[in-house]
Amino acid sequence: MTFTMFAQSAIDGLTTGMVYVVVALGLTLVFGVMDIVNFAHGEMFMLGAIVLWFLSVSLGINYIVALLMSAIAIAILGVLIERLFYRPFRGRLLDSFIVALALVTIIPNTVSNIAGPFAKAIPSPLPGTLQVQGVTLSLERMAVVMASIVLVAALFAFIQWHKAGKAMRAVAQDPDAAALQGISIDRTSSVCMALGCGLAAAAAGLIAPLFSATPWMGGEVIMKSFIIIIIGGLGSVPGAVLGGILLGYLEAFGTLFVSLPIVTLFGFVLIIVVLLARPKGLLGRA
Amino acid sequence: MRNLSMAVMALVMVFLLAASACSAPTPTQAPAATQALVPTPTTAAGVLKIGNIGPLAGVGSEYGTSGTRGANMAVEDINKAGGITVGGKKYVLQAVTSDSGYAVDTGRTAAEKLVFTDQVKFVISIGTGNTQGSQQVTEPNKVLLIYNGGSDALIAAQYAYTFRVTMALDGFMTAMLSFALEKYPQNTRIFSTIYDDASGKAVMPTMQDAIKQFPQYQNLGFDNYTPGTTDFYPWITKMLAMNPQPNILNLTSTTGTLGNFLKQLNERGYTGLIISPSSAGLASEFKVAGPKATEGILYTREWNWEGDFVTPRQREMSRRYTSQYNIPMTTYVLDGYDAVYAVAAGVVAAGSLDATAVRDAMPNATWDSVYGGKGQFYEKLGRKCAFYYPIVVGTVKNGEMVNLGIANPTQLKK
Repeated sequence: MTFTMFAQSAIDGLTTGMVYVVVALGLTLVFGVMDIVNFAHGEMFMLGAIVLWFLSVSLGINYIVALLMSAIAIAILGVLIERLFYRPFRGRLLDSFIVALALVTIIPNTVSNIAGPFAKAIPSPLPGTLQVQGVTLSLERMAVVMASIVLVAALFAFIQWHKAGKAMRAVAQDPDAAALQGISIDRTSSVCMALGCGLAAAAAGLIAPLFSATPWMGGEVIMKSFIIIIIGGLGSVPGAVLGGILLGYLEAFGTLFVSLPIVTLFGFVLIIVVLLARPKGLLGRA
Repeated sequence: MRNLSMAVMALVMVFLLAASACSAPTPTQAPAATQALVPTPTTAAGVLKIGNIGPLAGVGSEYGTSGTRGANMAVEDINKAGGITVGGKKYVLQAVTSDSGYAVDTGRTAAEKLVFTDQVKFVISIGTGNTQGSQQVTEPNKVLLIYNGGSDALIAAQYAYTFRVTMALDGFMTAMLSFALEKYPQNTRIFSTIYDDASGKAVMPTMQDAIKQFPQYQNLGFDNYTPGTTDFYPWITKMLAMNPQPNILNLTSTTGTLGNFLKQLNERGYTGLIISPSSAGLASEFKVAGPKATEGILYTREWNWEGDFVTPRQREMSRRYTSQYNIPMTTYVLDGYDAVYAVAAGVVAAGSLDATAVRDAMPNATWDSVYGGKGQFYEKLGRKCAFYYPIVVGTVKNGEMVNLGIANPTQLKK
C-alpha cells in the first residue's frame, strides 16, 4: 500500500464515517428515548432527500432553504407517524416493530409511484475537488463532514442543556420516574421523533447532492445505521459517533484488500466481536 | 381516545397501501406493484393470457417497468390489429402483469402466482435474477418462458421451454468492445466492475468470455460491488491503484448506481474510457453524474431516439412511450415489446395454444421485430433459442446523448 492510498483511505474513512454518524444519530435517539426500533428511519431519510429534490430542483428553491424546509417537513411527518403509528403500541416492542416494517414497505413504493423509480439528481452546492499530494479532497464531502460535526455538536448541546433534551434523557433513563417528576412522556416522544426524523432528513439533504435520491435509498441506510448503533450501543449518541467512524474506516481500508460485498460483511463481523466483548455495545448503558 | 387513534391509524394505513400499490394512469407513474390487467377489447374471441413479469418496485424497477410496459404496448398493438388467429379461431391477448422483484425467490413467487392461480401458459420475464426463480416454476410445469437477461445459463439444454428475447452479454459486449477497439485502438487495458447479486453472478462468466474473444485486450480482471452501493470512493481508490486507464467496463443493475459511480470516478481524476453495456435509465443516471463525468462514455441501452441509426418504428415507439410515461424510452421497452410478438408468432406457427407445441414451433417462427427486419431465434448452446439484433452505440458529447453508430456481435458498420 502506497502512502497516497493510505492517506486517501484515511480521508475516505472519515467522510464515509461522518455520513454514517449523522444518519445513525436519529435512529439511536428514537430507540434510546422511545424504546422503538424504528425501521422506517431509512424511509424518513429517503423522504428527506426526495422532498429536497422536489423543492430545490422541481420548484427551484435555494438549496439551503430547501434543506431546512425538508428537515422541518420530515420532522412534522415524524411527529404524525409517532402519534398515529407508534404511540398506540408504546411499550409493545414487537407490535411497533411490525408497524415499522409496514411503513418500510409502503413509503418507498408510494414515493416510487408518485415520483418515479429513477435516480433524481440534486446539483451540488459546492462542486469541485482539491488535489493534495495525490489525495483527492472533494469539497462537498468536506462540507458534509463539517456540517455533520456541527449537527452532532448541536445535538449534544441540545440533549445536555436544553430543557427538552434533559427531559429526553430522563425518559430514556426511567420513563416512570420521569413521568412522576411531571415530564410529559407524550410530548417528549413527539420532540424525540421530530428530532430523529429531522436529523434523518438533514442528513439526507447533506448527502443527496453527493449521490442521488431514489425511492430505494433507505434500505442501505437503515442497514448501516443498525450496524453502527449496535456497535456503539443502542440508544447511545456518543456510541453512534464512535460506531459510524469505526465502520467508515473499516470499509475504507477493508476495500483495499477485499471486494465490496465482503467488506459489507465486515460490519456484521464487527457486531459479533463487539457484542461478545461488550454485550451492550462499546458505549452502551449497562 | 385510544380507539380513535387506532381507527385513524387504520385509515391512514389503508390509504398508504392503496397509494403504494395502485397505478393511476398518470404519465409519471410506474405500473402497479402487484397486478394489472391490460384491458382487452370486448369480443367473442378467445383470450390468450400472457404473463408479464419483472421487478416493478425496488432497485431493479427501471428494468422491470420498462420491459413490462413494452410488453403491454405490444399487447395493445396486436389487439388493435385484430388479435391473432389460431386454428381458425380469433384470439385477443391479455397481459397479466405481476411484480417479480429483482431476486430469485421473488421471481419464483411471481411465476407461481401466474402459473397456478392465473393459469398462464406463456410468461415474459424481465431481469436475470428473478427469471432464475421464475424458471424453477415454468420449466417443470411446461410453461413457455421468454426472458430478457444477460446470462446464457438460463437457456442451457435442460431448459427446453426457455427462450431469450435479448442478446446475452456476449452479444452486447462483443459489439461494444469491437466498436471501442476500432474507435480507440490504443486503449488495450480493461477492468470490469459488476454487481454482486444473482444477476451479476450469472452474467459475469459471459462477460469475461466476451473479453477473451479480443486478444488485443489485457484483461485486468474484475471486482464486485453490492447492489445499492452509493459511495464508491474506497473502491475507486483500490481500482485506480491498478491503473486501469483507459478502459473501465461497468455493469450496473440498480437505480442510481451508474450515476454515482461515474461522478465519483470523475472526481477522483479518472479520464479513461468507460463502457456501459447494460444500464437502464441512462438519462437520469447521466444527470446524477453530470456532463463532465459522462463525456465520451460508450453505452447502448438508451439511445437518442431522434438521432441517427434509429428506425422510424423505434422513433415512433419512443414518442409514444415518452408521451405516455413522461420518461425516455430504453431498449428494455423494445425487448418486452418483441417478446410478446415472438410469443404470438410462436402460437400462430404452432397453430395451437399448447405450450409444448409452441416451444417446438418457436425456432421456425418469425415476427416483425421492432429492432428491424424479421425477428427469429438463433442457435445458442445447441438449440435455436436466442434472439440477436443490431444495437446503436451511443456516447455523450458536450452533455448531449448522441448515437455513434450501429454495432452487432459479429460486424460493425458506421
